[in-house]
Amino acid sequence: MAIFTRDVDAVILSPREARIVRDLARQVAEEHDWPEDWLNDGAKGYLVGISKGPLVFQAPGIEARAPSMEQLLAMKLSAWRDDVDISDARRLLQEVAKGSKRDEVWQNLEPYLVKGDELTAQYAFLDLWESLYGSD
Amino acid sequence: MDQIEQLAQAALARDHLKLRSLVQDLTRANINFGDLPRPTTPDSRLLAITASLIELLALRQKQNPPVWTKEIGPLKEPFFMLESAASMKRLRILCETQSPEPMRKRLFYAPPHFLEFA
Repeated sequence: MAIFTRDVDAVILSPREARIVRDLARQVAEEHDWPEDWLNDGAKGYLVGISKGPLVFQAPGIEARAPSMEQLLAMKLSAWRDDVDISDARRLLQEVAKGSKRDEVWQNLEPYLVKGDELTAQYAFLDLWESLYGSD
Repeated sequence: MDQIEQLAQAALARDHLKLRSLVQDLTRANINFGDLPRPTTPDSRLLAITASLIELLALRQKQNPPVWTKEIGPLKEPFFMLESAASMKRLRILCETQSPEPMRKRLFYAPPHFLEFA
């Protein structure tokens, strides 16, 4: 089996005591011989607001949702670390931009930008938009 | 090939998926960056990227880098760590002006959050 990721980024919204979920995740790690930190909540510092994206998993007592594509794109543009982020952001922008104008798309991303990285994200967005749709 | 050499090779090849994976392995291993030996390679570019990456990772882990990295000077010509910098003008400027200090002083240009992971 090919391994595509070494951990899952998650933010625990409920229960309030995230420790309970971490303990359960540790138990899962033991059962599957996974790294203890396979469920990684270190990304919460990059999550500004909570968007309600698609449901990715549901079972009694648990509901896991992905962030909206707008929020994912805003996070990628704020991080803008390497060609992997750029490639991911390009795919997300193609989805988010369908039939929309540049300024409309940007307005929908703004609420989710990481504080302090807004300008980097805006320049990243402009570069990406121009690479896909030209400068108009 | 040891982990640090693999890291340097991946950076020069701009293989960012591999680079991410190696950095996360190194970070998890809690190694003492100050103890890493100077590579024996005669390749000055490989030596320069190794020194830059070790200094950067040590800085992020609040550790001291090994003393030998101070002896490693800059490249003769700038090297952009991201392939996309060739076609994205704002990204290119961002890399030139805000590359992390251990990279910039040796003329390796990368975005400010290069190799930062949650």
